[in-house]
Amino acid sequence: CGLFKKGDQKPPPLAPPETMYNNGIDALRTNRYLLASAEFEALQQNYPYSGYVANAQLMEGYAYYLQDKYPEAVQQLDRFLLLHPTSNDAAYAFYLRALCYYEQIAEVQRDQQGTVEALDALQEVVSRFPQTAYARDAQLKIDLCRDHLAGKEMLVGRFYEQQNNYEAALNRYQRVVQDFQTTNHVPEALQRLVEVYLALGLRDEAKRAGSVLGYNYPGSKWYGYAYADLRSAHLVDAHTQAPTGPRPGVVSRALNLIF
Amino acid sequence: CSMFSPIPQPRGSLVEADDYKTLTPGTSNKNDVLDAMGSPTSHATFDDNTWIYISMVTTPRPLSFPGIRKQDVVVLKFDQGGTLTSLKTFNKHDAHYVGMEGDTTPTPGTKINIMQQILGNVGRYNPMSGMGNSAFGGSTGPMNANAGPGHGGTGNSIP
Amino acid sequence: QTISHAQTRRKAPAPRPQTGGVIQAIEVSGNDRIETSTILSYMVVQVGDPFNQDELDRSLKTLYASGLFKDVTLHRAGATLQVHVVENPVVNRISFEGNSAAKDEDLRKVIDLRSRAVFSTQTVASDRQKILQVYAEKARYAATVTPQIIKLSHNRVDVVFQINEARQTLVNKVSFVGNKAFSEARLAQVISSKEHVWYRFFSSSDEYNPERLKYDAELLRRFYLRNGYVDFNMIDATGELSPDHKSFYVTFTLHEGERYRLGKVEIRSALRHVDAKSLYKYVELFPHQWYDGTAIQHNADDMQEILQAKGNPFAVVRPEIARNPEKRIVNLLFDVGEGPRMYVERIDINGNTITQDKVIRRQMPMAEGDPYTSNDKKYTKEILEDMGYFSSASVDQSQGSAPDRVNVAANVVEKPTGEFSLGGGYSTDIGILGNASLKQHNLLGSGVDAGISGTVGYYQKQADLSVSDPYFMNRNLVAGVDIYMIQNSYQTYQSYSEGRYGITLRMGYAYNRHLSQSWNYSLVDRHVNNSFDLGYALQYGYGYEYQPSVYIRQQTGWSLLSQIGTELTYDTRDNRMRPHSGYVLHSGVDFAGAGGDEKYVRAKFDAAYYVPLDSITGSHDWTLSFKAGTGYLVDWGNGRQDVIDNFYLGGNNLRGFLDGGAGPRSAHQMINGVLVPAAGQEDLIGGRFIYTGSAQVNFPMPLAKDMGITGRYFVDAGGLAGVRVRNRYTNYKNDGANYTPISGDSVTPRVSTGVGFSWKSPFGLINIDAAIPLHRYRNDRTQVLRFGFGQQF
Repeated sequence: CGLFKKGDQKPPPLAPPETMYNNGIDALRTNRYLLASAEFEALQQNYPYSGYVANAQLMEGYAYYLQDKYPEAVQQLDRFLLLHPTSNDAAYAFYLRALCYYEQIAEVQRDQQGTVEALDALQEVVSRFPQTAYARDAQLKIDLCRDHLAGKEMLVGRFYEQQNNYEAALNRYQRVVQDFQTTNHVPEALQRLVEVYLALGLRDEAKRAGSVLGYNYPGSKWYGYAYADLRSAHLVDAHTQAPTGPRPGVVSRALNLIF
Repeated sequence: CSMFSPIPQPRGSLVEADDYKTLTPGTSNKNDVLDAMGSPTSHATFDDNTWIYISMVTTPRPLSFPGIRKQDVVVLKFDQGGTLTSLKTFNKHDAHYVGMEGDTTPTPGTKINIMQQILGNVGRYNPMSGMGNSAFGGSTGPMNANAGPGHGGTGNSIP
Repeated sequence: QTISHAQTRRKAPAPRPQTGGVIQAIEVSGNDRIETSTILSYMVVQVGDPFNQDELDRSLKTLYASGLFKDVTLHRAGATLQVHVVENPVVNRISFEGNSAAKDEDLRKVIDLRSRAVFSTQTVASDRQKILQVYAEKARYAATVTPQIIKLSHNRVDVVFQINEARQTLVNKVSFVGNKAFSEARLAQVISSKEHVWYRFFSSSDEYNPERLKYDAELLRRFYLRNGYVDFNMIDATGELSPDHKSFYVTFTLHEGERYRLGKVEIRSALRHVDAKSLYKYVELFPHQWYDGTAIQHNADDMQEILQAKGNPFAVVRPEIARNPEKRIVNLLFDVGEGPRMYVERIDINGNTITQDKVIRRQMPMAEGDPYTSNDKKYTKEILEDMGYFSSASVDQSQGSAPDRVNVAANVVEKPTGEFSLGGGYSTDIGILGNASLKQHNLLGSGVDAGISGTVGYYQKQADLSVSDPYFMNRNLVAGVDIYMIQNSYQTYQSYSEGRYGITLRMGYAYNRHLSQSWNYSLVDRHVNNSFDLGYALQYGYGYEYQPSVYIRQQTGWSLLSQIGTELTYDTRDNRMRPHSGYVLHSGVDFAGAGGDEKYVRAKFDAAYYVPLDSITGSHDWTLSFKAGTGYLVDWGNGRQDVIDNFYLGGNNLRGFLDGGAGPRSAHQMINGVLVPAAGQEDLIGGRFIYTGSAQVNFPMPLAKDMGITGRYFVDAGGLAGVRVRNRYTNYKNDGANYTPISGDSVTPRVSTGVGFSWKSPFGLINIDAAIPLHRYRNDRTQVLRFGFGQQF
């Protein structure tokens, strides 16, 4: 085929930038992303001054995003933002860049570096383009990232408490209560604090943590567990907030005492 | 004999009775405490003027979690001006173990699917480097484990 | 008037224009690639702002700082601000010419210029420096780099770095001034840089390199301190470049001073609960020996480590010496005190994309809030590397929220922990044998070790599945299970085929950092048949002589083994994968007879001791290791006493011999001209008592240091004795036809020696061992060459 023919055959004449750009868009629609990013790449290489370069860079970033090639996508979007910071697609570019990091958030057991980067990128979207739809969605994702980080703190706290390292567990749970107040890990953190304070013999601290939990989350199952713990330490009296949440099963309480 | 005795592992702040016997409520202030005992292991959850020093010694126990051999907790309360108002100590006998709650708050997040992990290449997270290195230990290579007669897991081979 | 901002120096600004009036319009000219809106967004000045000199300067700077423009001029024409820019070209291609010592990819990694990025002369200048730095590290100080810029259409440029590498600047002469006690040749051996000689074409030790000079000065200082010259100091260590830039002359001027002996050794302790007298037993030095700086430092470090392990985490031992020049003796004082009290505030683990956080955190010697010393940092790094899950691990610390609080960050880079290995062996008797195994040391990042391995050999089929969790349910409990099926029929050297189908449950726990105990229960159904088919043999004209001996024929059929075993391990090695120092002791007892047909008790003991040779060879790669093992098996009750449970000598525990190729065997005897027994082969029947020993030196291969080849020379020895068969037919008179003498049953050791290589090749680790027996029993079976090849994914 053409590849091996020696001859003086000139490389095929270059298509004009419009057709290249349209081929790229069509390839994207028929999700042949590899072809799409190649088309946009060729366009930027050969027609650096055509009007299509800005859109080509953006679309190439989008093509990489669709191929799950997040590092290349972020690099491409950064290049677009460097050259066209004020284009009206900048909001979308920032948002897409934030999504690239957001997709890389790993499970809570693993390194949370991706979550921290996603948090910064999403924060940038919200601060630069506050009224756009992207900002609203970014805000939602920010809360989820913070919830993820709180989950990691709790995970490490539980590990230390299980290994009887109360000095380590105490600090981890306190960090969740103090730095991640808006996440839904706070009730559990307070209940764990009750457990750790009781194990350390600090009864009044345990009582105070229990009352904060009871006051803010009376209906949570965690207050149910905490209430049972405090009662077993005879720290419950008349005006302690009664739990209004589901009653914890006796079997499950006994089970986890053993393991 | 001593070979069997687990080595005690000091945990938390290394604080002993004669460290804080020089501190007297009403006169000592935060700096005296810092000089005598170092910085606190942690503050109370909702009150920064309460300092908690936790000093424990744990030892590994077979078949279970590390055992607590010594647990001393010193709680120091300060008034707004930073002078010591009360100093209380607790030890292992005050502890009241309630066991850990098994329940946990779920955290969403993309799960790495099982097949990806078994093959070791987690793809987009960290593009695996080449296949060159190998974690072979020892010098006799794979032939040593269970070749030749009389082997096969019943332990009659001397390595 | 125009305010122009030239590349390197700023012209004095023109007389200040009248600053009144407001900018009605801004005209931008000279930009092709970059849109006007982009330029306006970078400028601080907008339409409607007053003409203000500082604002104009700042917008000039911001435009320039964006790196997009070669030159920017602002010109005021009435009320419009004219901005004229000359865009920086775009880099089309970057290429290197004339480089052979450094490859293109290495250079491309070092420089900042990228194709399709913006070109600027500063980046080219800084890249030129970076390339020169790469060549300086390769000891080519005379190299020159000249960048060529080729203009292309559409304001694009190609950058070509023309490199002239020139010859390496080598060390021609090393000389010492002021050395009275030691000869120049002796000192030359101490330092690492060597004079350039023709046969050193491969090694890099004759290249001049300033860091190596400092390292050599340190080597000399330590050498003199080790030999008692307390007053030694290095006056000057210089390297002069020859005028023709081709070679270097290195001279060390030093002052030796007097040689001292060690006087009194005292200890002063400021630690609570630790009095000085109790520490004297840890002093390893004795008075009147020559003063040895390194030995004293080792002694101090060992003492510090012992104290820290005994509950004084902040203990610090500092040796202090008091010189007495007249008597030339040095009095030594170990000052035991307490270092600064530091605590860990937070431990963060980064980079674990596969391994779970708790799998790493549980290995840490300290938790958050615990005491923290520099030892812990070194020890943690060792542990992380010892896990075998990471290609690199580093521990760094940063200031915590209080002066005595430290944040520790453990940074790891994951590596594939799956293992697919193909093994092969060639032996004088069974020929080619291969096996394949698929193992994952870190299943799902949970730290569980799981493996499925199968052998597809001409004579052996075997498959086993093993799973083991080092921290079962997060406790100090190792739990594991192996299920295996083995069928081997080595016809040539063993006239029976053997089948083994079983399961082993394992459980273990650690008493402390060194001592651990494990228990295992195995339930194995074994089948032996003599697989000699007379009809088939007769077809090929063989007779009875090829059937197995009576000792094998008597144990054919199925036998069930139900065995409980325990093993105590005391392990102080520094690294499990490639031990360099320390020792490990295993002692184990297996009790067979809780049900099943076999009834025996087997005791085993083996030990390995690793001696680091750093002090002699000066490099970390030399290791001397001694291994020894012994085992004894005694029967109780009336078990089947099957031969397959005996100890076997040869193969791994005695390289140079076939697996199980040495020890008692059934034999033939010429009795008054007749070969007795007429039928039956020579079968290896193992023994009741075994002992093995091995001394091995691991050394790096001198030439191919970075190819990952390590060599080893070893001497193995071992003996196997004590016949254990169900009933012995060795009495000629009354055993009649079954009479079969047993030979090779002697405690005298078999000895072999040989060399081996392991090579971390691009497609996996290759191990080759070649050993020849020095002293062997008459008809032991040998296996000269063994090799193994492993591939990892």
